[in-house]
Amino acid sequence: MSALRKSTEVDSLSLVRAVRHARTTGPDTPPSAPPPEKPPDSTPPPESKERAARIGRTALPPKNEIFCYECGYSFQATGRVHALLCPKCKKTLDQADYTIDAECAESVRTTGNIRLAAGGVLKSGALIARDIVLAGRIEGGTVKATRRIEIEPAAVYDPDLLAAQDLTVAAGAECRFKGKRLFRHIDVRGVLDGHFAASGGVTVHAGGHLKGRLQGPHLVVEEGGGLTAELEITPPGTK
Amino acid sequence: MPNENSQTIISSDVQITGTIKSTGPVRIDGKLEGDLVCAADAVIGRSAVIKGGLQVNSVVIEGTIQGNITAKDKIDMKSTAKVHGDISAKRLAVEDGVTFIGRSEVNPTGSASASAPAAAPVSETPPASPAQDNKGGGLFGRR
Repeated sequence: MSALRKSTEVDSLSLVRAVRHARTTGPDTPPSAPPPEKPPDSTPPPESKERAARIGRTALPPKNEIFCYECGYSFQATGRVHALLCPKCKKTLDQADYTIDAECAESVRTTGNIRLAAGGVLKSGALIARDIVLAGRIEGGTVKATRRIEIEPAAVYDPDLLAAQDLTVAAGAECRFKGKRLFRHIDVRGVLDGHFAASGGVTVHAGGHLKGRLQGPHLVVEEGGGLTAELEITPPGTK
Repeated sequence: MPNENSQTIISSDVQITGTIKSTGPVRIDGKLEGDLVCAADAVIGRSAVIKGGLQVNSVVIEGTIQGNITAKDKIDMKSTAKVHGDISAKRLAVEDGVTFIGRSEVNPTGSASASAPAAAPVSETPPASPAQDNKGGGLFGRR
């Protein structure tokens, strides 16, 4: 019985598997065939390896982490799908991206992204999305980003209404939080003031300024970044 | 007249107790219990352990410092740096992996005074209510 499988169609996943198999085990040769003789000065062509690596990198479909806004369950979806169903609550989830550029008094819930544009005003309701960009005004309601919230210079908001895993303060924006706030990653390109605890990395880019207090395992300050803060940076594994 | 290109090197097998004052560049790989006052640039090597303050023009830190650091120009913390103390400088660069416990006063856009006091701690806010305390993480509590 032969272990060989013949496939008439080659999809990207099979291609990736074949490339990985070839990279780990080398090219398949029949067991009875004599080993190929190498000329003494020959070197393997570097192009084939580079090409294989490039295919292995680019052909993998992206994995998206999806957060169900109905039941709170978190799962992964590979590639793009037409209809997204939560495996736990079985409800269909919206994947669309929205831009709010006028007054809005209703809730918008999506696993995609929401941009509250400069002319947009959130009067009430809840914005729930994976990534949320705030450039407008929040007068009421709540804003929850399951991954990242970005605050732009024109944004007008109450920080108490915001919740997110990652926080990005765009260049020119000023952001002041009251009380201690927890985030995973913090990216500072503008001015960020408050008491923060980060479980991931905090990056102060050139032109950015971090003020207040910061606790976390990782801190990067680019040259030109400002830091006026009380710091407790202890990488994991250090005392 | 001191040679401008010369650098004072404290090698890793040297331990000094006292204050080092230098007008030229200094590199420390050994142990120093005391202050370093350097009008030029200083390099604190990976094996260096300093228990004392630093007053320098600029400094590259790869080792361990327990003390306050005041630089007129720049503090450059490499990934192996461990700093327990307050820092004050005009410019700052920090690589990922540093250990830093202390206060920082670095404002490249404003006027940086070497003797400026460290940043005052942020005023404590009253204890947040449970709902408020969950902000930023409450959404993910059911994971």
